[in-house]
Amino acid sequence: MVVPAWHVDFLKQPLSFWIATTNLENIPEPAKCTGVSFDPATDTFTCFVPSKFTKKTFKDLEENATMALVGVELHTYEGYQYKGQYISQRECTREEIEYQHKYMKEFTDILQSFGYSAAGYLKAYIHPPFVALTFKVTQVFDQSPKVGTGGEIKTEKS
Amino acid sequence: MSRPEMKLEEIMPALQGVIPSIVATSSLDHIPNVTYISQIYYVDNNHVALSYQFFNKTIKNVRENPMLVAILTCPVHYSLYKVTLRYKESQTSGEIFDNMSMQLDALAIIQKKEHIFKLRAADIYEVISIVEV
Repeated sequence: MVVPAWHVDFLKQPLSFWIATTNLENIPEPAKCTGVSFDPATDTFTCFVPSKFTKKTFKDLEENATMALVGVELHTYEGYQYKGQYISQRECTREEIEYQHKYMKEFTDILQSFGYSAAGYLKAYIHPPFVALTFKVTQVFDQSPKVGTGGEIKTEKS
Repeated sequence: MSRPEMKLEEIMPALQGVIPSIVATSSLDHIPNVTYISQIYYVDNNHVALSYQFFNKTIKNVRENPMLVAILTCPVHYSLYKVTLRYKESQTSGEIFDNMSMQLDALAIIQKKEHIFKLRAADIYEVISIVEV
């Protein structure tokens, strides 16, 4: 396992998730995830992303399969960066779309507690159709804001 | 059809530091990185400054590959802007540094994160393009 076992519970929170890709000219591309699903048995993430935001993402992945996902807890800024190799993409299932609406409700509730508009965020990020993009994690990095941040997190078996 | 490009002045509300921005960078060997940043600071019509608080992957990447893409959110209309930037230089004193440091201190007090929000440098970037997402 590359992803520490305790991350499974961490990832079940309504974290802020973003992915990034880059082309071979090293122009990066971030895209907002409307939720993720993590399979600890295979160290794979399935990231849900409004297809509106994925035009350059998929263009990048055609030439460079390396991608990154960050998950940040917004109260504490505790965050981790998962890097790995893109595997596949497909349309989201009905269950996955329902999950995304539930996730975005919980996520925007947190944002509302900071004084932001939940309706504003939903307007910005909820754009069906959504795609499910799967990648296998090869490295995990601590990204919590502190001196010395950015170190790789290694499990015993990784 | 591609969206028309915008000017920095058109997205000023998104540069007030109300909503943290997302920045993506890439290493020279094509490994992307994505993270939050507290503040993107307006310098002039063609330049912004980003706060450098820790030596992290973002800082390492832009020193070897100057291209950075940020997603900014307008706190009024919740419009999203994709801003492509090119790193130019790092400033550790002067008007831009002092102003950024002051804004960051204010943000730190509001968010009770004084130990985190300490400015080491103001990284100056040239604005290459701005598009509404």
